[in-house]
Amino acid sequence: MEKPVTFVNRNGCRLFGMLYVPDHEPARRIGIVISVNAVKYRVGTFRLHVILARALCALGYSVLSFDPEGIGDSEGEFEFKLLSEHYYDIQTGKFSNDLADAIDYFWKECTLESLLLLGLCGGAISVLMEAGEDERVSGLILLNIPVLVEDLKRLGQVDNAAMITSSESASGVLRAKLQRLAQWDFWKRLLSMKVDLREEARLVSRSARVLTRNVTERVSGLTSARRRAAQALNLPVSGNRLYNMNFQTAFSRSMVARKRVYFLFAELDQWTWVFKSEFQDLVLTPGNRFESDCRVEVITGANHIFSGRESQRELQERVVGWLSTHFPLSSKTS
Amino acid sequence: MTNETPQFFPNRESQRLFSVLHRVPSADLGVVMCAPLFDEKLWSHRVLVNFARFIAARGVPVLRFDYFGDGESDGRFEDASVSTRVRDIQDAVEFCRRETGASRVILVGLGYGATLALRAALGQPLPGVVGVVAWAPVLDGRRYINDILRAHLSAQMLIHRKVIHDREALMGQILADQSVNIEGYEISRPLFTEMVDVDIVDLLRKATLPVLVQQIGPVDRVDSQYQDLAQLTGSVQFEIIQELKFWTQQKKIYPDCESLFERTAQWFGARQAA
Repeated sequence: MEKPVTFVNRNGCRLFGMLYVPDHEPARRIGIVISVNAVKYRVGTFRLHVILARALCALGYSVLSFDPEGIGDSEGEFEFKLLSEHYYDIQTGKFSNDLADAIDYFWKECTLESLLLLGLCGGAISVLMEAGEDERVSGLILLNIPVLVEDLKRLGQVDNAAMITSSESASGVLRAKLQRLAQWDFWKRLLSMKVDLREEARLVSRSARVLTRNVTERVSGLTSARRRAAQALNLPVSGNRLYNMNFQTAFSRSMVARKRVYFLFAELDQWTWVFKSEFQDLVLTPGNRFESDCRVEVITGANHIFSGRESQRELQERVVGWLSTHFPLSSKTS
Repeated sequence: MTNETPQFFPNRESQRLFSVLHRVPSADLGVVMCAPLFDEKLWSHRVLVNFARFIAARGVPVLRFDYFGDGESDGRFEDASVSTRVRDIQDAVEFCRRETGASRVILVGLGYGATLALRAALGQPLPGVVGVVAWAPVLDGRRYINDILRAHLSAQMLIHRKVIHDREALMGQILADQSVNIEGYEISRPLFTEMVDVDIVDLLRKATLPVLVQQIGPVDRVDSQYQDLAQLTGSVQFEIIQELKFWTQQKKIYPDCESLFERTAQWFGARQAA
């Protein structure tokens, strides 16, 4: 059953949402809150949240999706400012209070026994930050989570070079640039001054620097030292100036509280490779101490929003697989 | 703002359509909003909500709703076509009249939603509908589809680093009843064929219903697609409103569409008095 709902947040604003309640009562009442991604409203891009909520509800999970204050149908103001500034606010916890208020409402409304949070991109970092503080949350499904914050100095200008942090991304960019040299279309564009040479130079030099740095660190043993230091998680594990320490703190709290965390990435998304170089390769190496509670997977051929039909199918399958392993509906033990 | 009721209502096929009704104490005139399609729906959603609140605060009830296969309504995107959406608009008008007691309704649409509103109201007389406000309507369905297919070409470049199926091939695929996935939206043959086969300018030329067409954008000259329309006289009024194209991704979001809202409300005022 799908039921439009409203509830009031701590600021007195009425928030709008959709509650998906299974037709048949399962043995365990497990709820899943799906967060908005960032500034788009609760249905998600191409209604991905609706598609996921319906699929999970059909299995017996209760699901709540809602619009935070100022977003979608909900009351409240949303500031007229740069999209990147909104992203920054979200990456640093803007939605935490509304998520907590939504959990209050959902927990009571559906008399839940267990609760998980799911989010994509800005939604993923939002739910991670909330879960770190909330005892009721037992698990997290984090899709394409960003571990860097927006660079406010760029004033909304996209910075593709800053997203090149891993050897995989750097070599991918250099390979693509080399391939383009053999394409007539590229030369045509170059001769007609349609190629942004400055941007091209930035991408190439950034890629070269990342590759050189990674080789140097490996040879000097610096990476191993950083890995050892990273296990404590009390200092930033990444040296990237845009690294989001909120991410690391919230992850650490979730691990201490023994919450289950499922990181699911898309192969063609830049965040996948940023996560790998700035966190996974340093903290979640084989045999790490979080292995029993934390899993990282990548869906091949998927993009940032999992728009392909095959990507959507695989996303659903993997989420359902992880849920049935760690949060089954049929028994009292997880 | 507690006068806003989120609810489902059934269309003629008994499919549930999600809606939010912005209620007012009593009114003779109501508004039904027709949302655009694809990601334009998401980018514009908040502006349409703000407009509904702006109008409701002036004593006019507003119904916003999701078409079958869209938003939180029943169905899958690929199972919806232009015809199903036009019928949903007609059912939404009925629902709005029944729920609010308004005997007269104005349709307000944005982008392809404006095109759907024009089709719904001008294709055949629609009981109770006394006018249409078309915000940046799509007049050339083929050009619109072409622009949408461009996103598929970009996706191919990302995955394969080259274009494997060009636009012609993609159109051929759709016409062979194989839907094409554009950024998660499955474009099926019924949607595609119906999008390209109606001459909206011709519909407007024959219109007897009052229609306000507003070109929205940062420039103050008539866009090439509206050249013919700008020459029309009679019940169709054309004007340019300088606002950001809020239904596409902008560097800044949720612009204050004061001039668009004010001008549209002013046009409503004239209909209310009529």
